[in-house]
Amino acid sequence: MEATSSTTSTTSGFLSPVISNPLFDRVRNTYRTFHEKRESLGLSNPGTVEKISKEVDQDVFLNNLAFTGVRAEFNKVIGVSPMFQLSHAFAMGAQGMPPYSYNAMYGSSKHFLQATIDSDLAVNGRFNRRITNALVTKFSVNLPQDSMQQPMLQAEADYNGADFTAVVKSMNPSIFNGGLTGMVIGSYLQSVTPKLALGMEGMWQRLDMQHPPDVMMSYVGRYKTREWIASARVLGQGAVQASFWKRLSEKVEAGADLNLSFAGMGNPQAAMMGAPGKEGVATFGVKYDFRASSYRAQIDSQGKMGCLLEKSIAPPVRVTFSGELDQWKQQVKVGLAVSIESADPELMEQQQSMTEGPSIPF
Amino acid sequence: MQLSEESKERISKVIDISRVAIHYGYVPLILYLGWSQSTPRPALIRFFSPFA
Repeated sequence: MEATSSTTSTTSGFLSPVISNPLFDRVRNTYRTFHEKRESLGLSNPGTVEKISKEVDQDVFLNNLAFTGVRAEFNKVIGVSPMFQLSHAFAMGAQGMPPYSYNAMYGSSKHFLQATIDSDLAVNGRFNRRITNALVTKFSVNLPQDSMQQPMLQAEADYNGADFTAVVKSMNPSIFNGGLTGMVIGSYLQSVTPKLALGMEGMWQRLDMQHPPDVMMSYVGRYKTREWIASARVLGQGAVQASFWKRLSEKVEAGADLNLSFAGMGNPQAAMMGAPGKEGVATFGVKYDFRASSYRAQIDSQGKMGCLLEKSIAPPVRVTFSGELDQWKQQVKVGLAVSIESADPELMEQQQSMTEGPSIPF
Repeated sequence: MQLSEESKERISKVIDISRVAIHYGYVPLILYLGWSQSTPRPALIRFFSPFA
């Protein structure tokens, strides 16, 4: 610091009165002390607002993992650096899954490209690009085969600062309807202390020009210690989501989630339009990790029970069983999946000896 | 913002064309990138057969 200030003060040239005037020094010093203080707090990046309860929603609960029917997947790792993977997936009796889909993935430290094409000829594509170490742009596109159906385009920019994350996202923006329509989401999450992060998210949405735009704000908080993580989200429209994650032992994790919505109370118009009124759901889940298998179970206050068992029989073959039982609706969903991964043994060695660089911008 | 009919038509044509290009071109693009950047270059049969 000393060195840089002495060099800038001795700089001669026509710009020197501009650079070394007292006002500019003052501003620069204030900024520098602020920056030093901020660095001395030792804050780490808090992650994004979207993934604030990731440990519960994605790791312990089976919301994203449960499936029905029979599936078989053949994954092929062709290259590790740059990453290049192909997969063929066959499905039978699965809800919302086409009978066959082909997936290709390519990733280097700068780019990540992924595309899925299925037997209905619908294409899902993603393109992510790391512009600097902190800034990543993401595009995703969803093209159904039927040209009558509306395609989906989403563009996103993520800035991962040292102690904050800012995200701007827009979905299906269009100016053809006589004005700007679509959806824009902005979110910001800042670490306040090494354990606490606070943030907010704003959403602007306008489906067509006949309706006025909707604006929704939500506020989030996350408290993280080594053993447990608590997070909460308050939606301005009248909904609260709170979740709690705890590592019970080395192999067992547990998560609980409480979702309350009061949407019908404050806003009679929303209740009339059939928006969900007063509602509350509590969910509890556990995850056991064993050497070659993992087991997840969850139960919620709406009478739904689910379990998911993943077991790798031999290193390349993995079997997943998913079961869901709805006590009140008397519904049962069962799924079985086999996934076979093939990679050359040389590649495995390559993977282990890979040097650490900026990771693939997933 | 108001656009004239002509430019509206032109823009929607560009969007339509790029949509078709992404629809049929994105998977081959990734396959080409993966093939050309990998060393050694993989055999093409491995791209299409689940068993090879």
